Amino acid sequence: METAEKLAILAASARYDASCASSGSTRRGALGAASVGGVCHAWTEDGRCVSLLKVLLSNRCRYDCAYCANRASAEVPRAAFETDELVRIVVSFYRRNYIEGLFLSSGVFAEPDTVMERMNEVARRLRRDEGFGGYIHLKAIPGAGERTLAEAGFLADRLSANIELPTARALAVLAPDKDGRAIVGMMRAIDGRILEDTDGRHRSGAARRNRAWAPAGQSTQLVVGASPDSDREIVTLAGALYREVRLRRVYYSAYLPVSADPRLPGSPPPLLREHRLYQADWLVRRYGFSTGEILEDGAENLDPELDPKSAWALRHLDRFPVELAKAPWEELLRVPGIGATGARRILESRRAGGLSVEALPSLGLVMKRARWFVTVHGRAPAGAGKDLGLPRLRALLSDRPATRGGVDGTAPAGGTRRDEAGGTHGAVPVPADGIPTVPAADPLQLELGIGKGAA
Amino acid sequence: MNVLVHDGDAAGFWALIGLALEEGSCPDSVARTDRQDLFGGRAVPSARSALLASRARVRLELADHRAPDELELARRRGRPVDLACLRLALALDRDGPDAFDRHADPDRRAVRAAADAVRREFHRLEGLLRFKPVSGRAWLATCEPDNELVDLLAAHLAPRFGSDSAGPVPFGVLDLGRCALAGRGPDSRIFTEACRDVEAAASRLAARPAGAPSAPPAAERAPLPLPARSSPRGDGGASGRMDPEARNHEDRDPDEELWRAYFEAASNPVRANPELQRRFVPERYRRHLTEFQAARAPRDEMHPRGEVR
Ligand code: SF4
Repeated sequence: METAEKLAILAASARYDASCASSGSTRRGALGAASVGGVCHAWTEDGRCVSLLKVLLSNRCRYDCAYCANRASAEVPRAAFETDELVRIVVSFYRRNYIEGLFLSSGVFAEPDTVMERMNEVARRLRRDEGFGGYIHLKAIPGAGERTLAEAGFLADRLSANIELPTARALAVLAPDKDGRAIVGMMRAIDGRILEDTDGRHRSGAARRNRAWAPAGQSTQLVVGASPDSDREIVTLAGALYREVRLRRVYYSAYLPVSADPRLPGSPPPLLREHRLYQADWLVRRYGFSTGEILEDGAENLDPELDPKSAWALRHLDRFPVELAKAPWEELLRVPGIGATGARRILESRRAGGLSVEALPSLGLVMKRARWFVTVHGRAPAGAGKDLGLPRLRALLSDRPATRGGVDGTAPAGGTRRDEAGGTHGAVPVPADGIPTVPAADPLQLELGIGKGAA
Repeated sequence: MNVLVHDGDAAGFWALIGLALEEGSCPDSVARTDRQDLFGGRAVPSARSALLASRARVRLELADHRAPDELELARRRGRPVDLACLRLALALDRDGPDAFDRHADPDRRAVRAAADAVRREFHRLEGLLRFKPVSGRAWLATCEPDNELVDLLAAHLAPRFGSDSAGPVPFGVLDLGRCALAGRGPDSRIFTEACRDVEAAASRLAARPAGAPSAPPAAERAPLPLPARSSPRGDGGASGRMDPEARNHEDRDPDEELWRAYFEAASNPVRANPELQRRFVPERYRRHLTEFQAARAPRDEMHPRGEVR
């Protein structure tokens, strides 16, 4: 098979992995260097950033995960790269500035350790023979041996083991060959190695990025909407992963139908659901929100009409307006329409004596949202300050795009989890209202301390 | 009316700031021109230029360590904001960091907007430059940025080219609009200089210093089509044709074909969102991007500007 054909097959097979980040490493080599902030080199027609050459080493797989285009039972063209072939492509693409490096994953075509060793071989050739200093993200295959993992961490900037689904129950139904505990075990092994590499201390900033072993840390991905798990399950799981195994990122990938398997929903979730999960994730990682604050009062799913920060603000109107002339950093970040840049500029303007209501639009705030929640020296921005009532405020803050249905846009409210084709999601129970009932003691969640009072 | 003029380069800009700081006053207007005789403004005396420029940087560094970088970025803006830079420099000299942090001040806003625009385009082009092999072992990328960026881009990209048996690999970034080339020459030195077109850039990158070993390995030697400058508005595109060598070049680069194959396969058609793609890669960058150039470019499909329809 020609290289071009292989590349097309193995790139198409890898495109379901959402991550393409190249940030977090300061590695340098004879040929190239990682860029700590990451660089996007292209944007494909689906609007995604291409930073790395993201391919599978092979799309042959022994496993049969129902949601995966590469599953053993799928009738798709199969291909595999030779080591030399892939190394040559990476070096050429890198020199031409098409990519920052390589994201290498693979189907499980042999024993996990063998598969990972083959991936290591590619990375080893790049690092040792080519002096490659660009970014390498390697997929860690649960079941691979300690020595193989140890070498992978030295070769790669980032490692990732995909958690795939939010609960062990969903894994048992949709990916019966996979073991949630083995996946979490792999994450713990990676975290342990990173800890060793930092003398047992969780360092931040430059000390973290300059480590030799997986300097950009580890990430994971989970498929959203293939199982009937709620946003609560997902957000709680993500919070536990950040806390327990110190992931740098959790990626969410809206399930895309790849087969007519009755265990799967007949229609994809709206992309809006994926978007809201990323917004919630951002609040947890960057703005000091706890996962419990994201979904309160027993809500199972994120509000499709509002971004999670606005939704939180509307549930806590008693905490507003925030007086910008006095509020500390953490409080500023809780205001809808104020991000880290806006908060920094507010603090700087305060120090320089230049903060006024009139100055707010020049500070980089999203005034459309922020105006309803702030005062400066007791004054509200023009047009705000009166009691609009919750429904009106809600309508003003809504950022829901025009409804187009399916993965293209937003499905009608209430239709987001329902199997519109009448499927049953196999053994996973889907109540008539579309909101699943998940037992509290799911083994995967227990493995991460969820349900033990740790959330 | 007090008008100061400078020729638009870094030395002139910083000398002007030095003069304003020394005089403690701001001119009514600033012009960028090398024809002071036509403009009638006052220029910094060339004998004092270097001293004034270095003094200005030190003085502003002491006022606020963030200031020199911010002003230098603003200087690179395609639409100059020199007067705002001068007024901000005077305010910084007078008030220290407070002047930098008064985000609502009109001069601070203008300088920040200019510096942010330059930063944004730099980050975009970090990824969106596409290098092609030219003249033996050298690599060249062309662009037409809104702002003055090629030297920054060359410094950032230098590690990407590494070395071969003949030494550090030469490369260049050519700003077709400003006719400026920055990169690393065959003598291993980083440079920025005027350069009129792709052909001149290719020979600059190929020229070997006296006494250097002759012909390097011939790998990837074939020159490949690089676009000439976009036509200025209103000239019907006559000045911006694809260079003749490119037009006649039938052989395509197999790795460019591979990249296009990858680019297409990596996109998920079910999630197609061309509007988002357009936002990230505006049309004006696309003519320099391999992935937006058709795989085959028969001569009759050539757009006058060198674009392929
Ligand atoms: S292990 Fe499962 S998800 Fe991974 S390639 Fe094989 S079938 Fe697909």
